[in-house]
Amino acid sequence: MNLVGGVAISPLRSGLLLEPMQDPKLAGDCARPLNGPYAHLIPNVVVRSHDDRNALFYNDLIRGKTVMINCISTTNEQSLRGCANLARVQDALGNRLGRDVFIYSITIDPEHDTPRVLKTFAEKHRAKPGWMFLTGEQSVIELLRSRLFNQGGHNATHDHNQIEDCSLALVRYGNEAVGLWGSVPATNDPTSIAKRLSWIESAKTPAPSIRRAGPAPLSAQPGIRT
Amino acid sequence: MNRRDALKLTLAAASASLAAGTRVPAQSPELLKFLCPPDGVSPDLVTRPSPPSRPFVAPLNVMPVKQPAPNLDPPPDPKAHQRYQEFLPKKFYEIHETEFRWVYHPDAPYNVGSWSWGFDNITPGPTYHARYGEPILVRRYNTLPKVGQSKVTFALPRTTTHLHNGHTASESDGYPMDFIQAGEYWDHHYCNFPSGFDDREKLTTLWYHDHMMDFTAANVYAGLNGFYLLFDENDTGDENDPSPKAWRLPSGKYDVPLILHDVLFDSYGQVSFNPFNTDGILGDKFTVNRIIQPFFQVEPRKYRFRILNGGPSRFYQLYLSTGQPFVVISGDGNILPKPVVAESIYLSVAQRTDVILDFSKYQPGDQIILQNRLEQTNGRGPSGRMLDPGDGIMRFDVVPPTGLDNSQIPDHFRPLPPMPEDLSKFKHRVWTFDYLGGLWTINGQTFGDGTRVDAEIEQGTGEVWILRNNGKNWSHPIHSHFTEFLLHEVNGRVVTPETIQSTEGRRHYEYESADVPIKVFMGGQRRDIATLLPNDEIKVFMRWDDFLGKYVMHCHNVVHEDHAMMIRWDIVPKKQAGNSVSSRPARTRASAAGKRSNHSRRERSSQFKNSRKARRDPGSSERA
Repeated sequence: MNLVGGVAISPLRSGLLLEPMQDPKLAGDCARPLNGPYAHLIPNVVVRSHDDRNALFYNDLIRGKTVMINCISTTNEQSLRGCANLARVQDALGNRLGRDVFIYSITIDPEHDTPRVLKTFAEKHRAKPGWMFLTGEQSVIELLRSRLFNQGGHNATHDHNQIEDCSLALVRYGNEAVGLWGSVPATNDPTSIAKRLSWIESAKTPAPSIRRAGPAPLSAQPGIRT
Repeated sequence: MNRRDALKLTLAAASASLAAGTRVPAQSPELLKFLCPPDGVSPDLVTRPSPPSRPFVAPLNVMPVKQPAPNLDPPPDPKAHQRYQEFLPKKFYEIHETEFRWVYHPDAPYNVGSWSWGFDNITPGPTYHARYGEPILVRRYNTLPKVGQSKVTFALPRTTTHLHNGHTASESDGYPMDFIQAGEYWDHHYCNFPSGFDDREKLTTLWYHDHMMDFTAANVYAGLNGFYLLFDENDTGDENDPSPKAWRLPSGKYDVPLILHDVLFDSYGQVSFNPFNTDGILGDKFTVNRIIQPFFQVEPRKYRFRILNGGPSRFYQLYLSTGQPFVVISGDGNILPKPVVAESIYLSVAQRTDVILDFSKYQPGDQIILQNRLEQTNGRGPSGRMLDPGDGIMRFDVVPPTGLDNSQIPDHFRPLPPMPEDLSKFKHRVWTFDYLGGLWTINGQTFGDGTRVDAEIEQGTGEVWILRNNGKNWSHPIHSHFTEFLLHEVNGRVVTPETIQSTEGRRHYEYESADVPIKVFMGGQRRDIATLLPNDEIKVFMRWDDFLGKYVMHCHNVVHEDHAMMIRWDIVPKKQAGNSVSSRPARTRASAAGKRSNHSRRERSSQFKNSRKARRDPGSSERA
């Protein structure tokens, strides 16, 4: 019989329930790398922002932060729609943007979308501090695309061109302090996109005592009458 | 330049530029070589494989049967459930979503336990044994730790549970946006009656799983699923049942549910999930009931195994190492008209099949391995190649018998609901499954927030849906809630009640004789997963009875689902002449049995009857 986390278990039995560990030191033994939960997946490459500053993508922009990431091309129609919607998302975020929430829009066309072009694009979308438009070396952009959006790098195999494959319609949202990431269509209702960030916020208090959440009375359910 | 120098140089440059806002030299390939991970993005299970483990050293985990609670405090709200008074719960259950460490395997590092989510501190959760004619109410408590406090970090502690295959009212169905947070509970009312009160609509093996918006893959991968089995006067769950109606299938400890998951672990033995993968995720450890490659001791007799592909993205084609065929009795919870003998079982994600395996020809000490021979190298679907001998999923170890085997395999079960003779008078809809901009789409659209209604279906009607895969390189197992698909055509070929769908070389063909073993069983005419292989088109007929409200159809490669391959359809009251709208359910239990609807509850609680007459011409709406 072994003792793990103060709980007696038999190491030879599988499927055995173990009580949650109380010892934080032991909990750390099976926790994430010190560098952040998804440091092994998110490239730590140099990117350049629309205000012509450089940053290490993971270390400076992602680690420990709550962010939204999408891909753009300043000349792509679909991208324009997504960015117009993100402009409304930033409004919904209010003063959280730039304080504890950041939006990163990565160009997939770095040759055209220089920092100067991105700056003009940012101004067009009324980007507030905290919404950064990023470019970089072609190889850097391709790596970010493949890691964050095209896992497996199967650009050519979706029967569409590469621009469509770069997730111009998709927003990743994540809390890398925890390692919790989701995805949402870029053209969803902006309020609902902003609300998703509350889903992934780190809790400051434990769960409250149990309460009923549903279903609501049928009289309050649209489409159902009794 | 060594790696450390390269890091120093680039970090210094980056820091300086951030501080001063000045330009720095462009990133050179020389630096990238040191800073970046290996070029390309190989599958995680290639670059970061799970720690090794010995096969077939851990016993199979068999989930306990969920036991009812004496009552609920506070009691359920009758006004929150459709037809509550008609289907008053006869049993109440309380179940808790919890976090715990689960030992997938006795070898290190797995032996310290992998942080998991489940129900009542186990994964898969306990198995419900429900009966037709016996409504139940399940109170589901979310007692998971909150974000930042949970050891499982990739999943979201907001949950909604779907009873897969269940003929369930909308408010109990686990709609993706009907989620609850830690510290909350939701009441699910499961009425346990067949659609339209038609015995031929009965189901057998169901399962429950989380269906959280954007996070279904992560939450199910974390462990939130389990079985829900339905019994009736034929499938009684008693192989010694003296009733002449009883099928006497293997029961009790000889009736074993099996959920297959492929899981990837990190070097600490913790479950690893890649949230940036849009295609689908694969694991390199095959688990059955969340044990890596278990063994199971079997007596030389018949067993009923209810095999479920729990996903998230892998397809299976299962064989027995001895070449023994499977006796298949159901596909996706639908009992077949008669048993079918098949050399292999094809399971796309969420597909299920009940099989009878007879070990009576073996001797104690014999070992039989359940193998998967379908190759899959990425989340988009099978490669089309077969493995030889394949991956060992679990092993059956034959031990001496402990008693007589009184179980039976009937020659026939029950007929399927009939396909209308003339489908042209029914409304037709086409759903095209495709890809755009990093998202998986249906008719060019994504799910959005679940507020857009993509189809309004009148209660009590039937429709013809054409499910079309526009992809040449990916597969989609399509699932629609609440009601079953009745297949009419697969790639233009007509499906009959006796047809067994199969695959060979990725081409569908039909088999119409059960006398000779078929090579591959992929499901019968009626099921709840329509597996779209590349370029496939499947035409189905469906009926909507009994309830109103919102439901979904989606790809059950749950990574595709989370990347928005889902539609909302609503059952709406049937329109009456003069555009008046009736909200009265189309058929009550009593009316289906040809009785007045004001008959006593005792009278109405008798077994459901085949509503053949009613089914001959289900309410149809004129073709649009």
